[in-house]
Amino acid sequence: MRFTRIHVLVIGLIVIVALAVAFGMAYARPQLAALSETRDQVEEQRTVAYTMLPELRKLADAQANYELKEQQTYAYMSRMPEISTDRYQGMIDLWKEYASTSGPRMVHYVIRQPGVIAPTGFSLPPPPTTPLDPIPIITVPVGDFGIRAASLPAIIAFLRAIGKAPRMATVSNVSISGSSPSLSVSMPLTMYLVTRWGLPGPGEKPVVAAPAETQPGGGRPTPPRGDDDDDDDDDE
Amino acid sequence: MIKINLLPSYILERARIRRAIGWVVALLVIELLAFGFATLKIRSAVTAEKERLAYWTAEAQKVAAVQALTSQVVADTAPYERWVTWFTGLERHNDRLADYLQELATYIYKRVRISSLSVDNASKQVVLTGRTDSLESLARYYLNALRGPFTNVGLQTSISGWNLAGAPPLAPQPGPGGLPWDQFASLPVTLTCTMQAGIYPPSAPAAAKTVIGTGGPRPGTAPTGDDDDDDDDDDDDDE
Repeated sequence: MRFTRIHVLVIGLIVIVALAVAFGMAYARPQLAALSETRDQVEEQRTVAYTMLPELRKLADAQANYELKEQQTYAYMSRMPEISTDRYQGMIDLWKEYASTSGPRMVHYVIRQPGVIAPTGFSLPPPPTTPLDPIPIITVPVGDFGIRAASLPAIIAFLRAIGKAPRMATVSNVSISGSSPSLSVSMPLTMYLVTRWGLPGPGEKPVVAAPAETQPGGGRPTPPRGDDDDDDDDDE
Repeated sequence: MIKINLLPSYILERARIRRAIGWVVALLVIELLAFGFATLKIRSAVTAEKERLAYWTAEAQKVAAVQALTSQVVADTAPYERWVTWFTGLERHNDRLADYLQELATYIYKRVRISSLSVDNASKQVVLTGRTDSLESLARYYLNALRGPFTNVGLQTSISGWNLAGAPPLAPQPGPGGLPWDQFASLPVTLTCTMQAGIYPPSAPAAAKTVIGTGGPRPGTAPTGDDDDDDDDDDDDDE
């Protein structure tokens, strides 16, 4: 068989097609696939990046909420006595609180409520005489608490006013007897004292969960400080 | 004029083959140039996309940083949220008790004179003791209480059956005291009711401790309180 022009053309055509296919399969196709994948990633990242404004708004809202809650918390804490985190000083602070602060402030507040004739009793238990445990909240039952009031509306108004008393307090039971205008009301009261273990100073992270029973100084008891008198009479 | 080619055919074929090879080579060169051009285009597109990816990735990382900061702020706020919720719950607790008394008062019939009222959250018992002037008033009082914020209503009174002998026992007797009510208020009545839900103060966000024990848990305290949020603003009844 003789080699002719047709053979050359056919062979040439085959070579050209083979080269094109090889180029496409070996180079163009993988590169284009990688390009497509890169474009998809760009779209994903761009979608995320476009959420910057809403995220900034969320951050601003979160920061505003943080400041608000912090202010509210410390506003409530202004109704709390200063009870030190030092176990011995804390115990002494409680002595003063029980013996001379809470009682008078609460009674002054009670007698200023409209419709209340007089309190019939208010007694705090003896304060602790052991070093204070590091607990955030001290619950104090107030014994014999009662009032004489002029009417049921006055009693209801007094119950609402208890929530704004100088110390946080709640009433669980109410017992009313007598007749207007001199009703006798007995209502066991529970006071709540939040220590600095629950809420340290502004700017520090508050401890929510009560820590385990440990001494703040780490083993060796700290002798009590001198007399810190921070009773100030800003009464309600 | 007739063209006569005196060259042999194999020489003519050789020339044709050379021309064909030339065409094939030319096509090959064009194809290689096309490959080169395509390669450059693809490379530049890939480079451009990689630059875009780097830019948008950096932007997305900024968003992630903002989100992380937001999460941190939310986490820092959580303790204060819990304290504020607790404090406001304490304030609101007494309001709820006041609301309950106010609602209770609306269900006390006006012709009943209450001499004592007690609300005990621990047992969820409400006890109202008083006097009224007639069976009709007693019935009205009782039926009102059945519509009140209670689940069980128990009535104790002293209704006697009719007796032919002597004065009719149901006639009202003058009572003690000088108030106009007392001459009618001769029928004693005690209602013992169960609250639909107790009113408990909120749980503290951290462990609380009774510093001086009074011998047990505080009355009316439950770890997860039932909430009674019934509000009723009608309150015109005096005791």
